[in-house]
Amino acid sequence: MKKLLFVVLPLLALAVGVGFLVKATRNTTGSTTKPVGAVLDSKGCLECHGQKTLVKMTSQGEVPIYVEGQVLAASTHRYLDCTACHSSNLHQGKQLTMQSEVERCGSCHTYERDLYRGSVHGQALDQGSEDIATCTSCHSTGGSVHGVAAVLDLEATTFRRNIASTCARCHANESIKAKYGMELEVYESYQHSVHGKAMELASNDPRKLNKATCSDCHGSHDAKPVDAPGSRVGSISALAETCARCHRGADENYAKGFVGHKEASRSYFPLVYYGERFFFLFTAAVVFFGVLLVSFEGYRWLVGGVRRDHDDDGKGGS
Amino acid sequence: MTAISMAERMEEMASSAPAAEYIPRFGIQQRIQHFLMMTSFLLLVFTGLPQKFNDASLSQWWMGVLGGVDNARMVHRFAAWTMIIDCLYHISYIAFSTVALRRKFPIWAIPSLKDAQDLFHDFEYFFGRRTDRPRFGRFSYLEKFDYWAIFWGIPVIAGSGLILMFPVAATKFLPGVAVPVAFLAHSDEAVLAVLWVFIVHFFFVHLGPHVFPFNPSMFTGKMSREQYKVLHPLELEEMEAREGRRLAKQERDEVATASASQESAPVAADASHVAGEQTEGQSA
Ligand code: HEM
Repeated sequence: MKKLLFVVLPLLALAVGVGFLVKATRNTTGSTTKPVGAVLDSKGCLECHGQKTLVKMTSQGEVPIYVEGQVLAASTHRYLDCTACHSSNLHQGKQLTMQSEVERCGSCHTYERDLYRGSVHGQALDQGSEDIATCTSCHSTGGSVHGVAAVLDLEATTFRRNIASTCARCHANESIKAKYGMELEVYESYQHSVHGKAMELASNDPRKLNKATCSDCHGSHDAKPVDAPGSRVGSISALAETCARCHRGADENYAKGFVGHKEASRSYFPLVYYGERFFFLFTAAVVFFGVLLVSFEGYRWLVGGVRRDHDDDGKGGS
Repeated sequence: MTAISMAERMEEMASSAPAAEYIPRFGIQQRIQHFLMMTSFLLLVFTGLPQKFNDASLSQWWMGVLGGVDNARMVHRFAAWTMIIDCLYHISYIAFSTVALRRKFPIWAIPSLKDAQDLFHDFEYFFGRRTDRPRFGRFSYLEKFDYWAIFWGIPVIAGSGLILMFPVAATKFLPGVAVPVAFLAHSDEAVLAVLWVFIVHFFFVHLGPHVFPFNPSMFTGKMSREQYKVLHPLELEEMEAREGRRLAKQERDEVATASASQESAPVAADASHVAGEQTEGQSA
């Protein structure tokens, strides 16, 4: 009986361990299969608009007016009728403009709309920018404005882990950066910062995604330029407060050590700049020395010692 | 690793015959210290490197297996404390054995002029200007380098690691820039340590000539006499010389006590025998 226990218990432990590993792998790397629910569509719009070939004739020619039923069905708004956002008078409906989209979303999401209107994005929209982000720029998945996803959806562009790459769609886009004079490599530098690394490698448990991402320091609906009034990162004192929201007790001295998105240089964080160079050279030199010895030793070992013919002590060592 | 006491080893030697197959090399203390260093190092590497190379899909897969970076960090911190405690243990062990037990300070681990000469000698061999290899004592120049690399590497990596572990507390008495500097120092020093251990240390300890494919002496504590003769000939000779002297002295003492209680004739014969053995021992 006892002997049996010795066999069964380790096996049990092994099984639990393997199960744990499998579960852990699933947790983080498995992709989600979303329940594709029905779409409300009580007015039957998709009867026609669900057909790929549907177009309307305008002065600018044919405009597709097809709506992807699949995307809609996966969206968090799948139980809203089309008329909730488009006109309630059938066939007086219009494609939303950037401005009317903000108002449509804002008719329910008023708090977010107000924040957005005051943000750098909302203000640029009011100035007529056509490149600027509106609601669906950040909240839609699946390549369609209709795919608005809930923020806890693993594939949502606004799921915490995905926020940085969503911002990067514009902020790391070379032509947009050039057009608006955005010089810093914000995405690249974030990805290699402690915060970006931790976020990328965290498990999908939302409680474990408590690593800082773009919106935590720069705002989301109320995103602001660094130097704008009310910015959370505009001055050392504001930055210290922002750091302290996660790093309890962080003060201005702590905030002064934040290199941010700018690369260290001779004048900006020189200690980091020279430190990087020093450690690189140092590592290279030591490893070079080691590899040299290994290669020589290996070579002599394989090829044998030299002048073996007039020396009986040819092959190393003895 | 180095603080083995000659006296301790001589005791072990004394219990084995002079021509023993195996020569004791590492005491239990050194083996424990090395084991802790090795296991904590491996844990640190396998939980640290994926954080450095977060872009690699291998890192992401491995973090998934561990259940996310938070688990990896927990393991990293546990292993870090193990390594720090191991180092403190090592230092206290040397202090204790030299101060309290009055054993000899491990001077054979200290770099000397001979190490530079040995390195030069090896390069001459590599370039074909010599056919013989340098003859090493207890530690070769590479073994000393391994030891001292850890000795200066640990303060850098543990110091910077502790700053990363307690960044807010650290900036209460250090300037804020200490955190990013610690970050890069830690990250780069880790790469250096990994490359050195996995390429150079492994090659010369396990994969090189005379030891291939595996050298278990750090785990078993002993090394075969043939290997010792090749790898540490000077120390072996010294040991044999001592052994010879010890045997000679033992015999002399026995003779002395014997002669005190015995008649003079057999004593003279015995004494000449002892003298012969003594000179033999010293010249070995
Ligand atoms: C012995 C004391 C050590 C301490 C206190 C320590 C502590 C830390 C801490 C606090 C971090 C930041 C991640 C985290 O919060 O867990 C870190 C990262 C890291 N550690 Fe260590 N560590 C130590 C030793 C080592 C060793 C021996 C290695 C490898 C040879 C290593 C490799 C790394 C690497 C590669 C990273 C990631 C750095 C990056 O993201 O670029 N650590 N360590």
